[in-house]
Amino acid sequence: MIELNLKGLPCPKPIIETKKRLDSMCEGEQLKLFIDNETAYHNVTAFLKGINAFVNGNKIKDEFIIICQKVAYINAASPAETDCETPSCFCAPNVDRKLVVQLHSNVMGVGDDDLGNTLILAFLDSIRSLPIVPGTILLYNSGVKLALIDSKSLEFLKELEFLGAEIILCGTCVNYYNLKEKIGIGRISNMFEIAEKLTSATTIVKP
Amino acid sequence: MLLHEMKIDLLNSVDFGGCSAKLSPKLLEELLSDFPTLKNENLLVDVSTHDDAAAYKINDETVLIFTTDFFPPLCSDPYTFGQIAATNALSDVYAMGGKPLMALNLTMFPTAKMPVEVLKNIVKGGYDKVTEAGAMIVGGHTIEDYPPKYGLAVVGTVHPDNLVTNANAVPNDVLILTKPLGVGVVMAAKKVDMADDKIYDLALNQMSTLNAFAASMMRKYHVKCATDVTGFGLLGHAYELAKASDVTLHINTKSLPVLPNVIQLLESGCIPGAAFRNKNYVESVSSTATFSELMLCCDAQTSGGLLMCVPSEKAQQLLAELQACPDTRNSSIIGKVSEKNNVFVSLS
Repeated sequence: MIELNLKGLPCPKPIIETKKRLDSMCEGEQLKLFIDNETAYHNVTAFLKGINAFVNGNKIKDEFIIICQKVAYINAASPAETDCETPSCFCAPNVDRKLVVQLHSNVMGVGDDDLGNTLILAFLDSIRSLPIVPGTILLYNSGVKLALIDSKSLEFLKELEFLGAEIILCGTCVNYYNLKEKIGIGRISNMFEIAEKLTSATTIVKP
Repeated sequence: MLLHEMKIDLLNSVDFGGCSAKLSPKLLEELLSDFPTLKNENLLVDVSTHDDAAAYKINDETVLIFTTDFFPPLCSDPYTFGQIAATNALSDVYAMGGKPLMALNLTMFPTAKMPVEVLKNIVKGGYDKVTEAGAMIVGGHTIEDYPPKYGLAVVGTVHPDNLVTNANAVPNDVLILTKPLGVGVVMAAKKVDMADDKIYDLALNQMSTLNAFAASMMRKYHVKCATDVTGFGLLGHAYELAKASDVTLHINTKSLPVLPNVIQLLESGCIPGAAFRNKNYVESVSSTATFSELMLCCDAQTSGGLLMCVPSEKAQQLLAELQACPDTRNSSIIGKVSEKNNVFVSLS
């Protein structure tokens, strides 16, 4: 997906830049916007709904993300009632609630840890682009380190959360490594919930 | 560099200026909803109808019109800013069909950040416009504040028979708008370097054009209902007028007078934040207009024209007189009034 950073731009620049980029895209292509203030988020959303190009929008931590789509008639008439929801034929990627990804370590495979870390980053980078989004991503043991604020994997996890995945961290593990203040994403939970998620899953992916 | 040697660009002091700096109308309505409405038999127009000014009948010959308006800079040049702020404040008196009599300066200025010559030029602009209007500035009040703000409190008068309110529209009235829309868009475009200089000058020029002639025409043709189009945009003010009169306004967006290039700017995404705020304020609207036309109707106007509701048999002649005067040459018929249906404003 094409991405566009609109952070720090004064009003109405975020809308102008969005429109400019949409104009250069092909019909049906999607664009992902990153915005840092609520007013701009609401205005860009209202604009995109107005031209029937809005797909999805969400606030994740301090950041607003909007997904929009190039439509055939960018200046199409607005709907009869101005506040009605914009009909959209686009469906967000499918979230499989019974698919659980289990991240039990901050490395992938056994061997050199630097290589293992590179591999796990590549894994997260890859699953965010797959058509099926896991319903739950469980992080435990050293896997919780993947959710740290300064971790390279944070942005991949953020995107997966945005797409619909629930990120759950093992509380005992976070405390063990003394990382509570440094966690950048996810909900801290307990072994009961982790066990419940694992036992009710139809598919468990353990990289 | 010394302070007085700096070329002052007032626009650098503000995020949004002019009437787009207005507090959200929705918020204001909520805040004031608990306040008791004052009743007095001589108070002909009070806050309840969200009209342009209060009107108090002094005797059978004279109604006093009382209003105020001020805002932060919306253009670079201090003198022009003063002219526009004063024109905008005086406009409320014209919208009630009256003539301004006296005005007080309301001034906020940061002497530590800007040379006082800037203040002098702002006030000079106001002085010149009030003089042009045939009224007098008789005093004022100035405090330290940043960014600067300027405006007037104005009293004017009108004969009771000529009082124009926003609550007198009746079905079959024709809607006339006396200035083109789009100044908010042009000012936003200026800030992001998308505005053509000629169009920017055109916008400044129309904002510093008094609504005096339009008001005199309302007196001549006994127009009973009008409002001036300012910070809430055409849609917002049309909505308040429709609500106060309990009618529906039908606006044909294809016949709106509009500054050159504004529709193209809107289509390229140059939509000021105030337009979205205004759109959210008006709940009761139906629209088959394009999104850009809708946003044009929501564009906050500083010192905009008068929106008149004119009995249909007089409309063409009144329009011809307006179009013959340079100040109101862009006046257009933009729609009509009907019995109240399910919405207050219908855009097509």
